Amino acid sequence: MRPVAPDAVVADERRVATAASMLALGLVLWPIRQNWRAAKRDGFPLSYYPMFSARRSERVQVHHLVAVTAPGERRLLAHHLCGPGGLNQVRRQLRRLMRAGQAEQLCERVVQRLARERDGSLADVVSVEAVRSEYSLADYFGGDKRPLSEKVYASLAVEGRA
Amino acid sequence: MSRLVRSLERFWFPRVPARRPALLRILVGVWTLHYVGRRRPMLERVARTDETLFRPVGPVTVLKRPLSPRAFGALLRLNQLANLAFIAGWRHRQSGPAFGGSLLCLLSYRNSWSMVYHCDNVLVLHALALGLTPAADDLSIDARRGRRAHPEPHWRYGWPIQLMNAMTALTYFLAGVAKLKGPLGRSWATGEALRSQVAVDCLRKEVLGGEAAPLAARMYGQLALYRLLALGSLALELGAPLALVDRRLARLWAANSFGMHWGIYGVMGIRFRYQLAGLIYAPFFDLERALTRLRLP
Repeated sequence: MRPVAPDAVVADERRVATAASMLALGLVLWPIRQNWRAAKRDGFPLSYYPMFSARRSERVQVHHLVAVTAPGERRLLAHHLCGPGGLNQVRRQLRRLMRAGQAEQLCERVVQRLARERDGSLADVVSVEAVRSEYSLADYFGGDKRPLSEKVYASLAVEGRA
Repeated sequence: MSRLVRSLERFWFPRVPARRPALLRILVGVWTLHYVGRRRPMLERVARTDETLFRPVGPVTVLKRPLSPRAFGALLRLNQLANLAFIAGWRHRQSGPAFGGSLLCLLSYRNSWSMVYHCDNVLVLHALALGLTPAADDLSIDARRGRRAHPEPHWRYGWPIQLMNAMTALTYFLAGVAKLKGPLGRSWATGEALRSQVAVDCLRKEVLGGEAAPLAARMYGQLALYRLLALGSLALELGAPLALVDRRLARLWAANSFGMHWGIYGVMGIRFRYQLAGLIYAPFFDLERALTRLRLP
């Protein structure tokens, strides 16, 4: 067998490194084509990084949960009570579940959790509502934090507290 | 060979000491171990999310259904063991790909529940680049055992670092293109879109009980400031590939991008942790020289 010249080994190694680099950079750039698609789809870890690029209207809708106390006080429920994985993940999941007609099941899960709370700030909650609130950005940042409108998808009483 | 090819070769295959990728291996490895370790309870909770919310991304698309919590736990443990071996540089030819691959699967799975976050992408790309290339020829168990010692500067250690930098620059470039190709086009630079994005994010956080971002509310009326920020971030994103051309430009770009992420955190409370830690920009610097200046081994 003929010995392989060191130069040939180096050239081969470089060829592999060049091919691997081109493949990796091509893969990272590949999602750029999403920008020209009507139905864009994001991925991980290869992404077209659409954060902050969407058009935002002056009116904003947020799907969220509200806790209602016996005297009728309405409190916003924090995202970690509604699901795991961070605020934006929970926000998307709430919207998806409410739109898919699963608002009642969602309330049920949270109500079961609240029923176990004997003290703390949520111990006096008598029911939970799954709602979509619409806000005006100008009003909100002008000081009026009330929603313009609210659509209640589902409402469920906390057992033994109503 | 033409002059162009020779220049490209010199650019892509610079002679770099084995210590530089070794230091990057240790830094990225230690940071990831801490990052994943601290988030372990959250990751385990996410893995038990309602199956109807499963929207697989990346390599997870091969799954039709979510993993069982037990299988997910095994993936998590495999990642942490491979991570330890990766830091120590123990059997890097096996532990490197195992670490990169398991991190890719783990973080893809974490992003497969109706929301794709954009803070971990480059971390995964860097972990794969270091895991699949000779990053343990120094400061490692392998090097101590004489398995992979290569003390002289070599192009073998240069191209993975160029690759890491190029991947970093391209992700920023993609973010800039997405803004210009999005529904707002060039008008994104007026600052109104950025103000709306920041305002919507702030409102959602307040309604959903997230961490408040008080600066966002205070800055709502400052459109001129938003215009400046929008122009600055577009320049950094679209100009990112220039950081590959010149080393001084690269460091200037890295310092400004680092500042941008701290600015995003200050205004919106959004933590791009790998960027805020500065690790994403570490491959742009001669880390081994810093070590020498600190008189460390």
